[in-house]
Amino acid sequence: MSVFDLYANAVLNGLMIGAIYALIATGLNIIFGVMRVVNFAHGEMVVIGMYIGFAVWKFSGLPPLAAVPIATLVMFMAGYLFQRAIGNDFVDQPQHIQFVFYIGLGLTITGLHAVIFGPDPRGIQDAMSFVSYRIGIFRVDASRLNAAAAALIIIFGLWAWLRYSLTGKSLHAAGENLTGGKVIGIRISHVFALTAAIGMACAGTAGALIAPLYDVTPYLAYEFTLTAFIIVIVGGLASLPGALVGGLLIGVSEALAAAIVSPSAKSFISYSLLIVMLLIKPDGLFSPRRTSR
Amino acid sequence: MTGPIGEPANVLEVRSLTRRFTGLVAVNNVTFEVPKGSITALIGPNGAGKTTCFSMISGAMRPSAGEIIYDGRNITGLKPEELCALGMARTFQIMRPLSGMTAIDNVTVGALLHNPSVRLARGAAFDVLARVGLAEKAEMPAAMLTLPDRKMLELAKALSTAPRLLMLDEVMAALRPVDSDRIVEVLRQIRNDGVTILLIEHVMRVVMALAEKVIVLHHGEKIADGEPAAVVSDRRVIESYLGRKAKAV
Amino acid sequence: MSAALATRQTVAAILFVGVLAVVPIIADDYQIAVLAQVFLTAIVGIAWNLMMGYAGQLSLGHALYFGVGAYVLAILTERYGVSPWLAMIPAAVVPGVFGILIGALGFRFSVRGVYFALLTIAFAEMARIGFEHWDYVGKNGGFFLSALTSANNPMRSLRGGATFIYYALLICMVLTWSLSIVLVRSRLGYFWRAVREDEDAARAMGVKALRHKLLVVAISAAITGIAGAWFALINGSLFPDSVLGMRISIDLIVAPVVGGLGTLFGPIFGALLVVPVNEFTRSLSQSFSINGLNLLFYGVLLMVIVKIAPHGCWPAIAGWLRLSKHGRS
Repeated sequence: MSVFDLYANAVLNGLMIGAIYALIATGLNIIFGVMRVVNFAHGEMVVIGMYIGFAVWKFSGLPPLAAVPIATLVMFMAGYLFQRAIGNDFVDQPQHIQFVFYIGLGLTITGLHAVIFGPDPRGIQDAMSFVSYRIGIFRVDASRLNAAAAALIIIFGLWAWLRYSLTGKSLHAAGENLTGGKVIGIRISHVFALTAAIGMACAGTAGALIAPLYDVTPYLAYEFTLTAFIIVIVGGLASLPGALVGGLLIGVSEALAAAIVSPSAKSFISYSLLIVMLLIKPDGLFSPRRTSR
Repeated sequence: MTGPIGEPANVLEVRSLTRRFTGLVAVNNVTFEVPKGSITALIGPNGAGKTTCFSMISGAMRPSAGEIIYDGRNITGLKPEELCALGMARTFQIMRPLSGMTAIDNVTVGALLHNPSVRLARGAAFDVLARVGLAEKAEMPAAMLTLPDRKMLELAKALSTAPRLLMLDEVMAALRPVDSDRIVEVLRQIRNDGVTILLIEHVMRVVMALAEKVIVLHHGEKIADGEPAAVVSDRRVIESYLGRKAKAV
Repeated sequence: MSAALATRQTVAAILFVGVLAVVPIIADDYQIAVLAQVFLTAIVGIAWNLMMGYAGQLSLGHALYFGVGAYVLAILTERYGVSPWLAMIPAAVVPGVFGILIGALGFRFSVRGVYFALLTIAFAEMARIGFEHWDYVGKNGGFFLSALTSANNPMRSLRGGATFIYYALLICMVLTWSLSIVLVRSRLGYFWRAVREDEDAARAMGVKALRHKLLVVAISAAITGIAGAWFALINGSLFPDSVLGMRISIDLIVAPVVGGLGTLFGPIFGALLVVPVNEFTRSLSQSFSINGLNLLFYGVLLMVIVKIAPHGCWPAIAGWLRLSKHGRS
């Protein structure tokens, strides 16, 4: 394989994993965008999804894709309950308090994972794991392609729902103008709970989609969290298309960095991008220009 | 324009001051002077651009065009803390107390500008608090003060920096007459000490009682400028504002 | 503050330090080591508290200063034979400079709040990755200080047994604590708090916000760097994972938040609470061979404390002990 082929495949793989990153970031975008909550346990939610994916496959023998709706449902309900019971109390707290709370949440979840599943990597091996297609110079794993396609479908579905459904619109409204929302009667605690539910469901679903692709350990979480934040900042807090483009961008840049430099250098590029964005345009690539001082 | 001994007669001169936002010109080519030692009022209906002018003068916002001359010196574009060091102090329309700190601590922050030690600054701060009638509440957290007291605190914070030009943004708003009278008295004393005062006000009673010069803004433009009696009877002013909003006593 | 309160506070402080000074007489080596860890955590906590609790700037990348301080001291003493006493200076100055650079970058571009926190995370993580790829410091394999021989003189090498470390860190903690008291009560303390409460209002009162924010970052970073240097001296080995990166940053902030931001004793109290609990759950985890038990406990502890005492545990306790006028300052 020539170097060009290598890089081309890296880009393609980057796009596919980027689509899944985009789903994770969309979830964080919704949570941060509507509630201004810094959910530092987002990565842990993804890992929950991964373990659900693993557990379903292990204990029922169903194909991994079947686990996805289960993960979505479980995370949706868990997210809603969590937000109503505890999360809503933290929305008004100063940011460093939120950070510590969600960090605590993340540690708790990681700890639980380690206690229940142990620290060793768990992987899914099924028929699909070994299937791959050749299209010209490209070599595509079937499971990866399926996961990316599913992620994109979910993302677009979510966008449509947010734009056209009544609940979706009230979510958007709450994010834009909280006081106004309260005035016209949107029940904030319910809206926030719904937001958290959707956000966490995105993360969990993405996790279930990733489960066939990578082995899961409890400690994967914090990289997912950081990557999600990077994407959200680069793509833009108020912008769902931003999360998609950001996800793809980060996916590709990581894959290329891994191919060109070394696997561990991939985050370096992402962090550099984050720093540049924070300095120049913290609202992200897709937000309107802020009015000047 | 200078006075007899070469000092500028106007503490503040604003020339062709303009501020544009996307889709809106908030302040359009406004020019006026604030004579030294005077109490000058800047009035106009809501949205006339008064606070925007203040923000530009005090360095919190950059003008789109125009100049600001303070004491004969062009200060356009200087930062708020630099202007404060030069003797310009302002209060905010939406009060901004340092809520986690006590009243005396609030005022000490400003007093530290011209006092080298914490001890001296606290002493000066206490004097300022006494002047505005907050001496007994010095150790109270700012967040727990009543509304009139918070207004006084806002004034005290500005005074603690030993200003030569004091800019007050609607300091009388939402006060009962007895409280606003108290502030009027304090302001008179301050002016007698040689401080120039520029105030944005809606409460006409106060404007008529205090101001020697009134400038009227409407839709971002200056429509009148002169002594209160003259301005009050100016047709355009009456049409734009006074006819609807006069709070006569 | 009333004279009576001031006296009570002074007496309590002296008692506190006095008790700590005699503890090694009755405690065993393990307990002494845990307390030494408490002191180290407290030092960083005080440093972070100056920046966050008093000046209101959220840094989640303090591991950068910790790690750089550690590596600077380790490299200077090990590769260049510099005396650790002398090496403490660059171990403070170099992180201080980094702090100023990051702060200048952030403040110049008006990066505030969450965004600033993310900026600090990015730098800390990049440092970790950088060190992982740097041959000179042994990359992930680690950087090692030479083993101690029987001829070791702790006063020269600043390395020694549990008791030596205990007293060295106790002295450092008391010095850091005293420094923080002096700073908070000075003009700087007023300006920092003003910036924390409302930066724009502070500037309107003549506070040179940029200068004072940079100053607090520099001081905070320098102190943290010294703590990192001690970490190197105590552990004798450094890995990028153990001194840099976001995980370490998070470890560093838990104690001051639990203890109480914006108070002078809070970070120390927090360290006293958090470090032993962490140790305890870690040994529980090991004795039951259940991996992750300590994370679970730690996480739950954080959530519970932040829910019921978001301003930290110390303010309420200080109130009961009549050692404060009211909660935060």
